[in-house]
Amino acid sequence: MRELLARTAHELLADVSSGEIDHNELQEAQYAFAREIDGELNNFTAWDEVVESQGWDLDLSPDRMQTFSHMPFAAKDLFATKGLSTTSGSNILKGYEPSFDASIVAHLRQEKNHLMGKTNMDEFAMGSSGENSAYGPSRNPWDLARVAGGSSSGSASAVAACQSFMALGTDTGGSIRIPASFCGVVGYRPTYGLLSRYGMVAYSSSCDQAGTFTRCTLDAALAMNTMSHPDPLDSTCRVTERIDYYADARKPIHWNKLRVGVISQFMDPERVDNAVLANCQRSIDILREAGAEIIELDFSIAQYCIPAYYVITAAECSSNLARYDGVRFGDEPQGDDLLERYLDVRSRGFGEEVKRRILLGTYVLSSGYFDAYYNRARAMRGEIARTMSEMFRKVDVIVCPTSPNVAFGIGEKADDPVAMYMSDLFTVFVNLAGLCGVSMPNGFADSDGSSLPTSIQFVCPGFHDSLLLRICSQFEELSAWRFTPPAWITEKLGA
Amino acid sequence: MAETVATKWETVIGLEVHAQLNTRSKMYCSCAVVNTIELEQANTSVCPVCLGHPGTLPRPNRQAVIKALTLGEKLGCRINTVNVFARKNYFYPDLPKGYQISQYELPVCEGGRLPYWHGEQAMEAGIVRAHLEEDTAKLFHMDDGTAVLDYNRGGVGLIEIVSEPDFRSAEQCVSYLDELRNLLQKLGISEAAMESGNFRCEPNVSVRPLGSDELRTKTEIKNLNSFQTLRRAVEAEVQRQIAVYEDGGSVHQATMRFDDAKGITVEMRRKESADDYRYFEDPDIPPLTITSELKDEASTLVSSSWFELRKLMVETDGITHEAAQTISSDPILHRFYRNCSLDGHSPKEVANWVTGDFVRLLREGPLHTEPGELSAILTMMKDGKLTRPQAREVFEEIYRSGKAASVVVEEKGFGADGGFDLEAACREVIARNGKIVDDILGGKETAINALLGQVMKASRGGANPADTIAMIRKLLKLDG
Repeated sequence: MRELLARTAHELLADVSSGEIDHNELQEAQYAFAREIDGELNNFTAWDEVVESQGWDLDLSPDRMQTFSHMPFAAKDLFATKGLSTTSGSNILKGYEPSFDASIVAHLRQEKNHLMGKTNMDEFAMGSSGENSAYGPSRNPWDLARVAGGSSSGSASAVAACQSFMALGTDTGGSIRIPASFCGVVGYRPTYGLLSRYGMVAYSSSCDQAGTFTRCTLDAALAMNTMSHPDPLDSTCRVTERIDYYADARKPIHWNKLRVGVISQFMDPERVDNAVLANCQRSIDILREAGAEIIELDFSIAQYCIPAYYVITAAECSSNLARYDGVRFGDEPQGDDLLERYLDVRSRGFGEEVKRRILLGTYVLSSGYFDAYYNRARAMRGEIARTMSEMFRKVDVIVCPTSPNVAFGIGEKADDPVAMYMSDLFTVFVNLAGLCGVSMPNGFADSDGSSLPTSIQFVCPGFHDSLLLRICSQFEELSAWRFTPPAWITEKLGA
Repeated sequence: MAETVATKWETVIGLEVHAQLNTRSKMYCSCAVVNTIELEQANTSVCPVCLGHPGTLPRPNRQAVIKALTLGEKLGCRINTVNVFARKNYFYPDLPKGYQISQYELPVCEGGRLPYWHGEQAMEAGIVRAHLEEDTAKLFHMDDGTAVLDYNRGGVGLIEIVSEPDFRSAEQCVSYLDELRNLLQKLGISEAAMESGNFRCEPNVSVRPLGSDELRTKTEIKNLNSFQTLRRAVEAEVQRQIAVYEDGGSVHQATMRFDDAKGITVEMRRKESADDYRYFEDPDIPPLTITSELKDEASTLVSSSWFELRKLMVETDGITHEAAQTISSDPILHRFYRNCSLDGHSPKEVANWVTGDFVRLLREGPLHTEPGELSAILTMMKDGKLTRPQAREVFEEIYRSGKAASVVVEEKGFGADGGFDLEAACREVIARNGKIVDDILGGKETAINALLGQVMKASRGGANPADTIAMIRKLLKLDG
């Protein structure tokens, strides 16, 4: 059974539905393996202790839409899970067990998928390396001395280390795509509004978006079929029709009709590591050779993405995190008056990066600074969205490296927050402009004796997710990419 | 001395009124609005949303918006087509999210006037704005020095009505408040009972030299729980401010409270600058467009008063006062009642529907269906295609799912003859229940109900009970 754990969900589902594979046994094997190796990776913050075998009867109706079902999965620690610890990687939420499931978790459970546990993350999703977690950093399975990327660090690392076929993450500025790139798996951030946010502990409400880590694009499409539903509990959810993402992703692409945009500012050797750039260039060559038209694009305001992003998200987080005030969340407050008690609980409960962003956000929303910072950032966000929609008149999809570098060493950038913020350089425009993006592994690069994955990012306009997944899935075939786990994992699996 | 001072100074007061909306559910979740009377009832109407649990999201209450529009129309306000909800950020233990969802730049209503009688004199006050927001939880200070929280009140809808500084005496304030309170009650917007805390007012008080039109620094008086206290508090504050100016001092912008025992106002906290609530648009609620449909619903309530609506229903339609009261106080119920009655269904029958299951369903979750669908169900029932229990089941389903009634009828296999064979069903139940049959044949005829229950279940409510009993009796040859 173990050797199956390195494969993909959509391959296995065929055998599960024919009865060749017992899905209960598969779920048990996956759960046991995930627990067995987690000591080396630190990817899980909580395990489902209650059920080891779900003992479910197979329920696969042949004539309905194919979905992600009867499979084990993991969820980032910020998805509310009924009766299972949900802490968003923070000490201030230690011990919190929600009384409800996040809407997309509920959809997955309804389809008889087994939630094995919760995955490690940067505290309140603030970070690009996974090092800001109250549980310590997740480790990169390709080199255990390196970060997994963040903020959805545990989910990315778990899918790469064969601890789960699929794991849920969230992406506010790149928090799915960056760790996917560092760990060499497919990271998909759908368009804002396609997956309900109900039950996702909020960081920045206008940018937060759930998505998936998988080992191929088709698995991401399957998961979308399970999770994308209208949700009256989320006023910002904008699902209007049921789309069969899986069926769409399997349709062939006429590459000679595809216009691919390349943003020149994101192919700058000054900004991007040589090996990352070379691999990206090779992917672009593959597209060109297949017949795609490659069009160079100018994104002259690219430099304003990071500042605008950090002002908006800090502002929203300063308000979203106000509820952790010691009244119901956090340690017993100490102090003589109300203010002292607030200061005590929040100083002890939050980590440094979270406090930095709360302070920054409070500042930019204050009267006298509101127009100078918050409103200007919002105006810039509008400008970025307009620029992107201009670009998408000329091209169908934009490609660029997901991250300017491969996974770096744990602790290497911890003292330089601004250098860390720059990791999001190629990802935040997707969130600011309401687009959708996939990070797709495209090779390896040597770095100090380790071989680490690199990725290319595909970006489509908002609500063109079906097209995006189709391009990515067909690109997998074109580039003959197939997920293989790190050698030590393969060895342990006995595959 | 007193006379000279009184003739030298003029009082200027503006009023902020918070009225609790008497909607069925809270402002941003579906918890029922309940009034905690005893502490034992505390925290019985709460959910993750109004408790501010991480990950939960608000969804604005449609009925609350209609009530605000109703008031806006009556006050002659300008209705903003696009409404924006904003977060007012501050820390206090009674505020579960650390912010209150309110409205700031684009409230529902702006501008407007409220005429009122001050004694025999007709007066008018300008209305700056009226907007929607949510109430805080209630903090109880216990005898042992601890404090406990009741979240029943947290998240209940409030309408805040801000007047221009148009009042020149505490008495004028009281006359205006009396008129406003009556209006809110008559329009069915709020119970507006000051003693229950669902009608609260905060006067903003300043004084100026008589004949001047300047606006001097104002103070705000909080926590006034009766008109009598308001009167005394405003008068005390006016005297205090006059005394300060007479002494050559200056009044500071501050929040005051009234010490009832001493009859003086006391500074609670000084506002060095404007309170910085860091208002910003709530990213969890997209801007709300006031559609013409919403406006129409509000207009219906304004044009015919609650009294007239109820009178019409009782005297012309012949329904009970109790049903008429329920229906007339709720725009959704009224819309369904009116449309189905216009479709030719008996008002009594329609009233039974909208005051029965409908009220329960509204409490449980959002409405997804339209009056035309209920009307279709009633027609199918009249034509004998649905039994009453089936019709109720169908209605519950369309209410939740928004599907067409005809689709649900087909899905459930109801309608037409449904292929249900009463005789066969009875034979089967008799065959399966030898012991019960023996009891019946042994003289215990009430046991027949056990068989009836099983047949009803097998028919999914489709069988007629009287026919079923007759059939069972016939098959068991009980009647000779």
